[in-house]
Amino acid sequence: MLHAAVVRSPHAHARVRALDLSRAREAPGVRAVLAPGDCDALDETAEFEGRAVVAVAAETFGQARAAAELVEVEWEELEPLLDPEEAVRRGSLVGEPRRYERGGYERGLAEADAVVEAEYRTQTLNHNPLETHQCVCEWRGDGLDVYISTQYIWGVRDDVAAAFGLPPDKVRVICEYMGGGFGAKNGAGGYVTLAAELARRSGRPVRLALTRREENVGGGNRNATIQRVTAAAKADGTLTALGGEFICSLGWGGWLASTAGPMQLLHACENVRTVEYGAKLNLPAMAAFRAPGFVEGTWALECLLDKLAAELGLDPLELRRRNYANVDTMDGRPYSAKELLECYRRAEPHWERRHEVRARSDATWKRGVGLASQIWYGGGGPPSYAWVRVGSDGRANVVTAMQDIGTGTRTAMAQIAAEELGIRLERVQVQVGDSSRGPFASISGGSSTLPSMGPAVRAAAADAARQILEIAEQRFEREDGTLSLRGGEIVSPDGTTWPLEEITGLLEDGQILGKGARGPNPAGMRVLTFGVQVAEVAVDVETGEVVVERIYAVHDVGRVINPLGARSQIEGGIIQAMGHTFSEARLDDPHRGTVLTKTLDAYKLPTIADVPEIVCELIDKPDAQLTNLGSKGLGEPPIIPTAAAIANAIRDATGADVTSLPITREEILAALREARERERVGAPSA
Amino acid sequence: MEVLTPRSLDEALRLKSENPQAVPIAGGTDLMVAINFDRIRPNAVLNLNEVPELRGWSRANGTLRLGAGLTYAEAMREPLAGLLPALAEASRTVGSPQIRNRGTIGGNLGTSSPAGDALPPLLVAGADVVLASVRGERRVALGEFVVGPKRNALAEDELVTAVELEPASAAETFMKVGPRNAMVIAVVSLALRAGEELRAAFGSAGPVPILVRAPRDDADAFPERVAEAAAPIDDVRGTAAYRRHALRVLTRRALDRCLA
Amino acid sequence: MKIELTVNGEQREADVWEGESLLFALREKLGLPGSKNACEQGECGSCSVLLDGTLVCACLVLAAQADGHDVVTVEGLGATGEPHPVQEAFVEAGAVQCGFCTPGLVVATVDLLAHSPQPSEDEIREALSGNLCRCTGYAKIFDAVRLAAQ
Repeated sequence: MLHAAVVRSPHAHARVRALDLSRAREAPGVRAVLAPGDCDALDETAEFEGRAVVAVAAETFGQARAAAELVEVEWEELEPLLDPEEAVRRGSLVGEPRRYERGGYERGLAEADAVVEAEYRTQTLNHNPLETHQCVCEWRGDGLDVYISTQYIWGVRDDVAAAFGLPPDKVRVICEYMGGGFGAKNGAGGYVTLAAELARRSGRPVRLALTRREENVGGGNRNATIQRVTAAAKADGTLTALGGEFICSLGWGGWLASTAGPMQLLHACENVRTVEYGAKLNLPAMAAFRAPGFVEGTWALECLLDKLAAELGLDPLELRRRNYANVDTMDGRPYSAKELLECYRRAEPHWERRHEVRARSDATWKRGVGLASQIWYGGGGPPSYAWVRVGSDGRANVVTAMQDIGTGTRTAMAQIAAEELGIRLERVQVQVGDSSRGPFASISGGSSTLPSMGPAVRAAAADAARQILEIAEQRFEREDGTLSLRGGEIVSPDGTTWPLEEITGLLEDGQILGKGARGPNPAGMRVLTFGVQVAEVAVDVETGEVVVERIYAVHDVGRVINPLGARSQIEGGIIQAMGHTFSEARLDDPHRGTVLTKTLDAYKLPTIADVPEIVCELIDKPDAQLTNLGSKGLGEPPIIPTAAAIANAIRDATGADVTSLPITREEILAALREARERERVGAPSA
Repeated sequence: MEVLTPRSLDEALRLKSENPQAVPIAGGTDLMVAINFDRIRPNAVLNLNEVPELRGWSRANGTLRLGAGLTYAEAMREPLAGLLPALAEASRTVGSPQIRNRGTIGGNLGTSSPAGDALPPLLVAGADVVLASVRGERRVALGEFVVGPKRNALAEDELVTAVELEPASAAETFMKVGPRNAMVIAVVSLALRAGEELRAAFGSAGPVPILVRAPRDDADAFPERVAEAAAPIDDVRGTAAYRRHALRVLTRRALDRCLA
Repeated sequence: MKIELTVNGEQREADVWEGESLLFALREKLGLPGSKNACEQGECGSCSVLLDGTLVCACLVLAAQADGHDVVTVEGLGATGEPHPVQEAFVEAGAVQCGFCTPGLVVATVDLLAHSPQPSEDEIREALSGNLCRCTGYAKIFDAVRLAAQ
């Protein structure tokens, strides 16, 4: 196998003036060199740092790296566009501005007894899965095998097939295990094209793995935002208007995630006006990152709501209850299921702790409690397919070409099949991760793996069960539809049981093959997920240090398949959100547009020492309208409300209004000074 | 690239004098990062892991001698931790167990980073750095050893072999502000020894660690003195203004702790 | 250059580049990919191994420095079908999501329990603070360590 290294633009905006590959081509161990023109993934113009210019494959990674260093590039540096507001002014946008309005926004403002406005900002964040983007490409005849760390086997198949003009099934994509994605690995990306082309030219398999430094530049990111938002309400808390301008620093590409989504969907409000801009800048393009848009938008919206509650003198939880939406806020459709009120009810005792928590404050450490709620998609949808194979030993094999990105999907699928077939979990095996060995399966993104795949697996298992029972009914001379599968046995209503193997054993080399497909989502209904989190913090008012002491989370995602895995998703989402809140930020050189935080000492992920007490609850009530399973996804919901809950707790503890992420100690101190100033001059708290 | 692995101090000094460009490596916690990231590609490295004379610590005539190869993990262990509590506390804040098991006091001195966690506690303890070469041994006060950010008084044929210092005769402590609970490079750090004289030294708040001294009676004004002595900069970890503010707070808290 | 070392109880030899880390030698030269390469700078702990019984990041050890020394990697703790009790505890507690950080965490936990068989919560925090996990949020890792300590 050969190893690849890539020469990338060190500049945010530049053009190749001259390129000399002669020394690199002659370097020891080099087997292939690609330059602009050889492959679409290479370019002579760099519109962002990290743009690939040359790729080298050599016998060892050290040789590839050494050869890459010998590539001589003469750059002509160009002026980079880095300021998102300037980009909006100049019309440098990805797509058109997205405008949304319902009701009469101005009228809503006029009717209000209180109006609050604020500008919130969020930072650029990197996914930093512990395994960087990587693949091995190997040509076999006219077909290509791609071993890859991905969230979407079929997307990679289609992307690579398109890049090489191959029929899609000539590309086989294999991903048995992968080291985390969080949205960054939804497609193939240029690095796969490079590896495949290097493999094609060298006639050898080629491994291309991004280094951590490459990952932190080009691995995708959650885009920074500037959100100017307004909320207006009657004295009783009824929202009369919500509005916002959202400027999203997308970089050179990507897409405009819905930062206004929470404002449009979470609370009942007749008059809403939003406009979202995707600023096109000379920075690496954003990629989906765990609830893209909603994480950023919920931060602003739920902080703003607490500001409004303070202005109105209302309890923040009560304010949210008074604006509870009973039907979809955008088009009036009924929800397939919504247990947000139940979430509020269960959060109540945790919210009530605030009196006791505040009382534990002293001169240095101020304590408080804050909450935020959450809305997100997560219903999944068709198409997705699964096969269930039952052999003569009565064991079942679930076969589907999905990927398990670490969320425990394998286990969940085994549980679903075991339940349907009435057999023990250990007797089910799940085969995933290979586009040539199973039917099409959903992307593992948008919290959709379980709600998309689970119903297909259940349908396939039900199909297999039906076939087994038909044989049993014939053999045991029972009426059609009278027998069932339970506890590894075939059960008759009269109490007679037979071991499952008594039927499957008849198969010898034969197999029962069950097929299942994901059906449609309920027509005319809105399928969404909901949740509430309550944070308890302590703020050192002298240094600005914040310690999150406890987080309570309650989420409604329909039926829970694997409670242990579900809690782990919630805990993982909360800790990732705490990184977003306090320590993580991609910092760019303000003049050059190059990334300053390329390594994990600079881009600080949360450690085990940062973990607060986390208490999670799941409503666990099947969504009766949704599929044969009643389950929604849980990958994204838990990361959405955490930052706002923490900021609201800081406000509760100290009166300080923090408006930018990450919340730094300096910002806390500045916000404390402002809060003291407001108190001194007796200005209203808004 | 060449790896030189001496088995004794004499051999190490001879190799260093013959190969002055050879970069010393002990725990590798700084140098290996630079090599892994292609930041440097030395012609030779001098592996000091097999030099027994650099290991451990000893005490003679009241003076402590810490071998350059003393790890942070060793500095955290009794009885040394009881003799140099601020160094032990500083060591606990260095990186992770993996880093503390490998990183050495000598390495922290050799790197001479303004953020080096061992430097402030050594400075308040009045440490001398022992430098050796085939030409002989000399002692340089730590305050004079570090001459700038990542620059020091080592001659090209010299190695740091030890530091010598007095055990704590008075209360002392170490404090650090970072953006995360573990694994942090300090935004600012502070060591304080409160004897007849108050002595404070800080990290990450100036190009070199500086010792600030005052009579014990001047404790009230000391936090301001320390903050004024700092020459912090704005960087990705924090602003100068915040560093100065945090130093003031840390000094007062350290005084409260030591004078209580 | 050639190095000789003991890996997981076996005498091994490897031909390494002088500037190569022990991690690279283990993964690419000695066929032991259990130690993961994620940060190359000792920040993430994914490459944790025991060097002469001491927990270290293999990415920060020059392969040449391991010459003549004893290395235990995650492969030396348990075998397929015969997991180490710490590995069993990680599975039982659900302390694994994507699994990439797990080998390093298992080695660090084995080291922790060797020094402190009944670690307090603060000891666990301190001992595992050099092992980053991006998925689990660490709560289940606490559970796994407590389970393994029983």
